[in-house]
Amino acid sequence: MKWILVLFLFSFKSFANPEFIYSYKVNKSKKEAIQKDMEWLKRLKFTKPQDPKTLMIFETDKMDSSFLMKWLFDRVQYIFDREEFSEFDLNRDLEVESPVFDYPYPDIFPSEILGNNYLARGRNGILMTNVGTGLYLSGKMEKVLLALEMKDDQKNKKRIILRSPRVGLIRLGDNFWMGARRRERDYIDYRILRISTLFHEARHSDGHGESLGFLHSICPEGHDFSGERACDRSTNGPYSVDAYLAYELSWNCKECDEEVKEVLKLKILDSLSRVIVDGDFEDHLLPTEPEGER
Amino acid sequence: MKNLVVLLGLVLTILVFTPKSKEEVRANESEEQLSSSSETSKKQITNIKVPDRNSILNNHHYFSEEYVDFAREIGKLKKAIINHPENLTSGIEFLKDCTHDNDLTLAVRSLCLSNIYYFEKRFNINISHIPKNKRLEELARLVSDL
Repeated sequence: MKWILVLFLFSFKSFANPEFIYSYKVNKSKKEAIQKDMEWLKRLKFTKPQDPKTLMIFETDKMDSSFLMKWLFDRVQYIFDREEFSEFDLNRDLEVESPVFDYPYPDIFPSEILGNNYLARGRNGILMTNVGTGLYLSGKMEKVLLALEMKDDQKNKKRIILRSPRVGLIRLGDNFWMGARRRERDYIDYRILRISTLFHEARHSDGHGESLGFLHSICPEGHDFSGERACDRSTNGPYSVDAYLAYELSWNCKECDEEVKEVLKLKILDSLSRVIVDGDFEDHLLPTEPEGER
Repeated sequence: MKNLVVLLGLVLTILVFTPKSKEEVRANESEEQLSSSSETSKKQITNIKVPDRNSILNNHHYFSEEYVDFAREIGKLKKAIINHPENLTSGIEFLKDCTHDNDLTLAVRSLCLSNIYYFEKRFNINISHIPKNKRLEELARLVSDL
């Protein structure tokens, strides 16, 4: 009986406190920063009503920290460090788990990936990247089921089968700290910027068929980032996710002073200035599916 | 497998400008100056470093360090005006210049405009010559009460 109780408590604890699985290469300070970020988010009290657009984007009628934690952990599971995947060789590092796989929407791909060589693009200054969706898409294009192996922070091997874009593989980039000095890393503005980035990346685990990955679009002429793939053509894409999340966190943040609020405001404005839509907000919501593409 | 290689770099990224050697300018001193003396405040207001457009453009995928520094300066300016309303005129002049400056990014301009809206409301005043740009106004209104 005692063991049943222990097992029950253990499973309750893992349910209540989900944790990312970190690669053994993720350095301690980054791991601790992410863990503290998650602790902060978990403790945040949402005392003010949310903006209706936030609720539409997150497809909920109420947002609180437990909702956000679940939303995030449904989309992000594994954290890798910057050096992983930097010299990643798909032929060497990925394995074919199964030569056939019944992909949903098998012949439908996001228009953003067609005819583009993404490898040609610069890769400096990355804060974090959702590599899981890209790898899933690779398998889908080849019509095979791919898998990769990782060693977690206990150096236990884990086999990750790329069955869904929700597999949630995030790679931390060389600019994870955003230029913050060591003592600034726990500042609340950097914390909220990191959290909103993680949610931005989490949105890339969503979508299906044409909307798979909620990929960014080329910014139109006249835009600040004209010609760059740094915009969204949906109102529930990654930039809207990080902007409205930062909005709600800022709105409910008790320790955020004027300076922090201005940083978060500029973050919100920067992200929303990349959402290129005209007309009604609702008309530009891309479809999502509860389980992602699968 | 060729497609796999092509796809590896899928743009699911947020890029941040690789920081240059950081100058020690993030200023506790300037905060003190901004809130303690209205004379110094005026000087500080006009010395706020506006993010260089080119470096923001080079750095287009994510929120740069320059943005963080600039937004903090705007926060200090806000406090300086609240603590010393005699700074309102010079503060508003700065914010208006910033709002009108087409060389700045839309995000920066709308942050400045959002603060103009904030001070209009706070001091119950009407500030003229604000640019009429629908997107700019929309964005600024969205965050002005935050």
